[in-house]
Amino acid sequence: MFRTSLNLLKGSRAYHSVQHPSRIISTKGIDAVVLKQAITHIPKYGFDSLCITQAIRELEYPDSLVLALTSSASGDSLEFQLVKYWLQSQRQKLNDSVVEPSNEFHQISNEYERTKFLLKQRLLYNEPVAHHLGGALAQLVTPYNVQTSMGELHALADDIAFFAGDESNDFAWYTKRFGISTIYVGAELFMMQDSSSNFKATYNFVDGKVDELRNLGAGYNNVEQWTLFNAVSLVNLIKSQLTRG
Amino acid sequence: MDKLLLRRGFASSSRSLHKTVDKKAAAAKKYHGDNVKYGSLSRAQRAFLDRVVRVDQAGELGADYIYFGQYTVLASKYPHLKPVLQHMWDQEIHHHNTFNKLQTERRVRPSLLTPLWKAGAFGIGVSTALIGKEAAMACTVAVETVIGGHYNQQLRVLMNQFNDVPVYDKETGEKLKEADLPRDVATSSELRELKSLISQFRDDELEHLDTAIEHDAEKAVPYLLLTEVIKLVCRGAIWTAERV
Repeated sequence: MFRTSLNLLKGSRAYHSVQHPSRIISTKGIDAVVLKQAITHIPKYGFDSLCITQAIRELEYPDSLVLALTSSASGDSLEFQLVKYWLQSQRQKLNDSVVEPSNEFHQISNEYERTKFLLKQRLLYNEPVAHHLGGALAQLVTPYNVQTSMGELHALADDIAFFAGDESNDFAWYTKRFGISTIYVGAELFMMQDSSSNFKATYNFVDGKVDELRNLGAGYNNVEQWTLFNAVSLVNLIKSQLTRG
Repeated sequence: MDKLLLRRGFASSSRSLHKTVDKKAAAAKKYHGDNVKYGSLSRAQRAFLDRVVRVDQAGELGADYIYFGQYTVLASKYPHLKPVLQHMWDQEIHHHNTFNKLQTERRVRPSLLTPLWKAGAFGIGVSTALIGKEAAMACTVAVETVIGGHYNQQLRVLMNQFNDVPVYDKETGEKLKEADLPRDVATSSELRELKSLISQFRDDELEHLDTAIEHDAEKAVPYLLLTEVIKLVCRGAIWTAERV
């Protein structure tokens, strides 16, 4: 248990080198080629293995190539591999857009305003698939996948905190990241049911939430909320698994 | 599939043609820091650097707070020790700030037990200083011995395990042989600076060790017991801070 929770904290992130760059997703390998094509079909089919089959056909590979993915070392299902690739590629996209010197992001100097900008930017990438997010979340909270998905969530929160200019050296480091994770998950859940034009309500939601985090007391509350959210969803998860028998 | 293979075949043959031309040019080319590009570090190498920054930050935080504790108790009692302690403490604050900066820049997770390290280090500083100034100095001896040895161990790994990082020509993207490169270009300035930082800090810590011995550390009464227990505590703290 202790070891698992530690691994969650580590996520996929380790020492960020200045001169030895490494990318989040690799572009090499047949699975990366297929998945890259597959995520373009998500707006149409949702987070379904159909995207992968379709991508394989489009790339004019034999249908049996799907074996390259089903027999992957991670042991993840096709759907979860698609979700994982989607999340990682969007995180890569966010990273790439931030380091671009022409990005308007660099005009903002306040840490929390930057956090707002980054969160909204990430949610913007979700717009085309917003109505399929429920399917992705169902994959992410499946017990077998939880460790990976939490790692990915924390990696996103860490990216946002880092680019926003976080300089905390102690426990605040953890508080901030958990706060950002909470906001992001909340915003995504909000987005799924948002019927306002251009998801205006979701972005207002993010603004409000970051303002709350600004206050350290509110930041503390978010950790509590995050824990509670996870406890409740865990209970619900157990319940649902029990009813399934 | 065939089309793809064919294309790949062409691509690789044209690339190898390029290579032979470039090799001649590269022989005459002088490499310095600006016209090379470094490959990424392996997972294990990054994990090691992650640990190094985290444990060193926690260690310097500890050292900072130990001197804080000692200074609080001893500065008024022994005015002649005041400048000595102040000098050592200032150096530790500088080390601590340097690693704090490195931790945020290189995106390393700080130790989860930071509040414990603060309280524990301050406690050790105060309690040894309360026993007497010799005991405080013996505490410094024990801590600096362990830290000096630990820094040396890190340097050894940095020297031995980071030689396989690939170096590329910035324009052509061609992988360069170590023999073609001047010594200071073969490793990135990032790693070189980290090494010189650690060796500088190790020298500072060993200087503190000498200072403590000059100020009668060995006259502390249960000297062996005191130093060995503190050494054990430090090693345990290092082991934990690397991981948690």
